[in-house]
Amino acid sequence: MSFQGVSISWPVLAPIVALTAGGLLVLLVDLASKAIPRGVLYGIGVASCVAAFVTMLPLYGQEQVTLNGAFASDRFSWMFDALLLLTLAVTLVLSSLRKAEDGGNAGAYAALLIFCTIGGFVMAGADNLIIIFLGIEQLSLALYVLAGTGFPREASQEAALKYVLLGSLASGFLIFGSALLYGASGGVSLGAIARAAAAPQGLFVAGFALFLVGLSFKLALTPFHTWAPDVYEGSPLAITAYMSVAVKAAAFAILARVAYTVFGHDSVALIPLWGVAILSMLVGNLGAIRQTNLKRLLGYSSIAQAGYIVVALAGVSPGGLAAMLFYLTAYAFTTLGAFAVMALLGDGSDTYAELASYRGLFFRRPWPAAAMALFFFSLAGIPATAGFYGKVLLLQQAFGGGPWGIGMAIALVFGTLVSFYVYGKVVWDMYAPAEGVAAVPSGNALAPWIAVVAGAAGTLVFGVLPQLFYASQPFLTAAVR
Amino acid sequence: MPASPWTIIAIYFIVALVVAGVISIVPGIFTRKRPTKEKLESYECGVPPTSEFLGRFPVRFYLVAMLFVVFDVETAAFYPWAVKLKELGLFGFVEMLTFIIVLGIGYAYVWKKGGFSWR
Repeated sequence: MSFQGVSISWPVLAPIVALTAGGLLVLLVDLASKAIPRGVLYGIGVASCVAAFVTMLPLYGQEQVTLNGAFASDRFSWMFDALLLLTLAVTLVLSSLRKAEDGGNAGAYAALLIFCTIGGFVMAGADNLIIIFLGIEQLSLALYVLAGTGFPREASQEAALKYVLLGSLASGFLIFGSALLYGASGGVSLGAIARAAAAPQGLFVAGFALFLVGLSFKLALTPFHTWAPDVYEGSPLAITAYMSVAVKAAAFAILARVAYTVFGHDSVALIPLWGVAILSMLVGNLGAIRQTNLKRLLGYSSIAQAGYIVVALAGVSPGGLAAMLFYLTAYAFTTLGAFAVMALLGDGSDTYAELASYRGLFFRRPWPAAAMALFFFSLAGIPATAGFYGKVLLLQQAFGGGPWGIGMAIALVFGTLVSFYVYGKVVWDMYAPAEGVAAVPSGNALAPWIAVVAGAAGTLVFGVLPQLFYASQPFLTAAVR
Repeated sequence: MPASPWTIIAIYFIVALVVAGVISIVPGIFTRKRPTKEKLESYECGVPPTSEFLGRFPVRFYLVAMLFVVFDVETAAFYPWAVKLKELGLFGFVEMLTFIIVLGIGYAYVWKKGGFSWR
């Protein structure tokens, strides 16, 4: 179908349409009656995930562009979309657990989560500065509200305020950078910007620097990470899980697409990115040492993990994309699993997030403790977990990335050593005999168990049999056009 | 000097910075400060102020402002569409209809949840 020179391919947009319809349906059902159980609303949300996935299936392995080349559906975006849907489904399941999560407003909460994910879809396929900004804003605006949905707690209000202030600042950098890039290249498509990147002028450098700053804010890369621990601590648990996986995945989709389409191997323009990655690995791991709150600790951990994932892009080689997608997938399973354990143990109070209440957990709740230990081992990168194999892949990429690659490899190894201590201490505490523990996390419900088991299965399967993922390697290496 | 179109913008930036800097710094150096009670009051277009300008006010105002912006932008989108409706044809009509339906669901949601009532 075409309209005045704008080509529209509905099959490519079908997943987005399906999610939009699902989100609107949630709102309408919520309006229909006050007696609608919360489970029904979240159920519709999960059903729309399934519907979106079904519409994605025919796109598998396809290379298509629509909206005059502004929006792409390729192998690369397909993987990110799948990851986003998985995260959305898990987040919805975890949110359905307790009323405190959504502030008693399940309809708006579930709908916003779905709209958020649509923003992620737009980001994953964006091939144009305007679409990139559109996706980022849709994702961010919905998340600002979601961060504050636990509003009876002051920490949640604080998280929402900090997120909205620093997030809008980041958007300002991003849009100003985009404007300068447009000025330097005369076009908004990544192809036009790639032509300008071949002979960069001052304006292009300034624009790309600002663009990178904005994106680093969204990814919580050091020195733009300061909001992350506070926001992660204050937001409702399921939203923290969503932020640490979905937002990172979507923003990395943009970063990778820009790095691969605009810049090639040995590009000087990406050096600031490598520096930022090294800082993130150091600050994220060192900062995690002194944390006493598990959500904060995972916030610092996510800063470090974002630094690790940047390493995959060192050298901008085709294998880098596969490494990045493998690490992101491993990270998604591991992190969602860890948050699911917290959701499982939580009892509505804030104590479930205090590290002190995990002391001696093994003797009270052996299975959740074992699952948590597995997830923490994977985050640290102990062999036989997905995180270990992911780090091997990252190091491979780092050594192909010249001197900066070597620098990142050193930071990665050092950060990993520090993180052994950080995560090891938590696991040690869980298995140490507990005396005089005041707060005992005691929740138990079916929904988070599903997420815990799925996370553990993913972490182990990708750790022991990474070739299962790599069976699709040829498919991955040719990811970005 | 190279005749790049950006030179003009650079000059504009420099002039703007210098003028703004001079205007804000010079008076601070040369004025004699003789504050009176009237001079220190917050300025409300000449009307005597009723309260401190940093006072607290209900968060509902933000809600009203936000809803206003939403519907204001909607109206701004309607005008060019209405003018060009004939050329946009059936596609443009359906497109705008979809937009109105999506917005209408949001409108209904806000209404039913009591977003418009001043509680």
